[in-house]
Amino acid sequence: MRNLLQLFVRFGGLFMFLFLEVICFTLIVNFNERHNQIFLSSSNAVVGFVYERYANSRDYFKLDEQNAQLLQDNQQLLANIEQLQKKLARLEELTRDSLPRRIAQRTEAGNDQDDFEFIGAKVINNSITANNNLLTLDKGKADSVVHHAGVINGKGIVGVVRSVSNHYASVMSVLHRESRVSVSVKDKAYFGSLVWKGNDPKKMNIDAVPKHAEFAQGDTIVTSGYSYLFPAGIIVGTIDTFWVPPGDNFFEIEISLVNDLSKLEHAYICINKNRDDLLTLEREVND
Amino acid sequence: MTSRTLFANVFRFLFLVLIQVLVLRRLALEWAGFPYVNALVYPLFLMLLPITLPRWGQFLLAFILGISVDLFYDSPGIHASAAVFTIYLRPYILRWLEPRGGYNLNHIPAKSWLGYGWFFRYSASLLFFHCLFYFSVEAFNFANIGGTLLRILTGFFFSLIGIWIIVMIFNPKE
Repeated sequence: MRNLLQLFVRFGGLFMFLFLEVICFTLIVNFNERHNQIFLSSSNAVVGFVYERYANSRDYFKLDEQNAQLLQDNQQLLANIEQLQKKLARLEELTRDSLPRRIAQRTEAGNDQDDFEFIGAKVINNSITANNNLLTLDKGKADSVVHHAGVINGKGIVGVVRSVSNHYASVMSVLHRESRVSVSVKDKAYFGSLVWKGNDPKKMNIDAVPKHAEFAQGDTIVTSGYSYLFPAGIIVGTIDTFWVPPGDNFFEIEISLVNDLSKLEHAYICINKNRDDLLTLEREVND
Repeated sequence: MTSRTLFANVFRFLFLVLIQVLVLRRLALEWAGFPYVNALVYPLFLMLLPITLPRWGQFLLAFILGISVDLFYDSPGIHASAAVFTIYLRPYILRWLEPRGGYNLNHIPAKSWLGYGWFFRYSASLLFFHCLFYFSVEAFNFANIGGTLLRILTGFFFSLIGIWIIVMIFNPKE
């Protein structure tokens, strides 16, 4: 104890200095937008590199398992193609030279330009146990990933890109307390925002659905498409329970997530081609 | 520390923060296209603190001073980190510049007691480290290191002029 005190007397100034500088730099990187961006993207570059090395070596040992999985997926897909082709053939036969066919052709032409482009990426780090979960993908600015792009995988939504360095992207999982995603009940117009209360990685909540909305237990929840992050109609989950808290005008909805975020291996980053356009418009409106 | 010293320091604190945020900040904003006219005079408060003031008190005052300036500059922590760095270096600079007879502990380290030459070396060296730290943290990356160095040098130059104008007008003794 005495030694400790002597140490403090001798280096008290240094301790005080380091202590206050830690406070200052915490303030700097948390409350200065530009400093925050620089801090995130540079820490991202270092952390991303380490995780990629780790994921690579881990992948090597899991190749057998993954091969088996891919084979199974391929079989499934081939079977689907088979089925779809049969259906398509039947439909084409049915609608040859008929009015519905002409309508279908016209709408096809109208929807020709897709709004979204998808970039496949490997998940090199992932957490689901923390209060604010983040994951890292092995694609970055060099692969034209941008800040604030949605991330999905084959089963549903995953999260939103929070910062990008040249070769990595850090993604705020939907299992993050600050995550807000606009979702709606499938085939109905009601929409709300998807939030995570921070307990169960399989359960999420939806806020701000008005009291007069009608839906039932088991209804599917999909992304609403009311933002530039996600295309509309990406599956999120199914409604578990819902109630209106006394004195409130909005439903409290609890859903179970379809996607199992603990087993992520690959994900797709959704890049909205009209993103810049939308952002400029929104900025003009806000100013 | 006498009550006169206390009052002098409180007054100096308020005066320097006000000059910094009302006059010099405006000046820097007016010259926004040429971001090199950036004078920092508030370190003068740290230079003139009594030598006998306990170390933790010096650190605390530096932190509060920096945060006060930051509030107006809307840059939480940046000025504060530089001020804490400057006060950390102060004893080493004082030891380096110690006159042959040592310091008179009743006097603050000011021009009026220790002379022009001494105070010039003292203020210039502390101010240089302050500017070095401040402009580096403000840039926060190495992307435009030439620009940062130029900002450090010009900021140092204008700050030194500002501090000496104040010292020549008020000639602080307490």
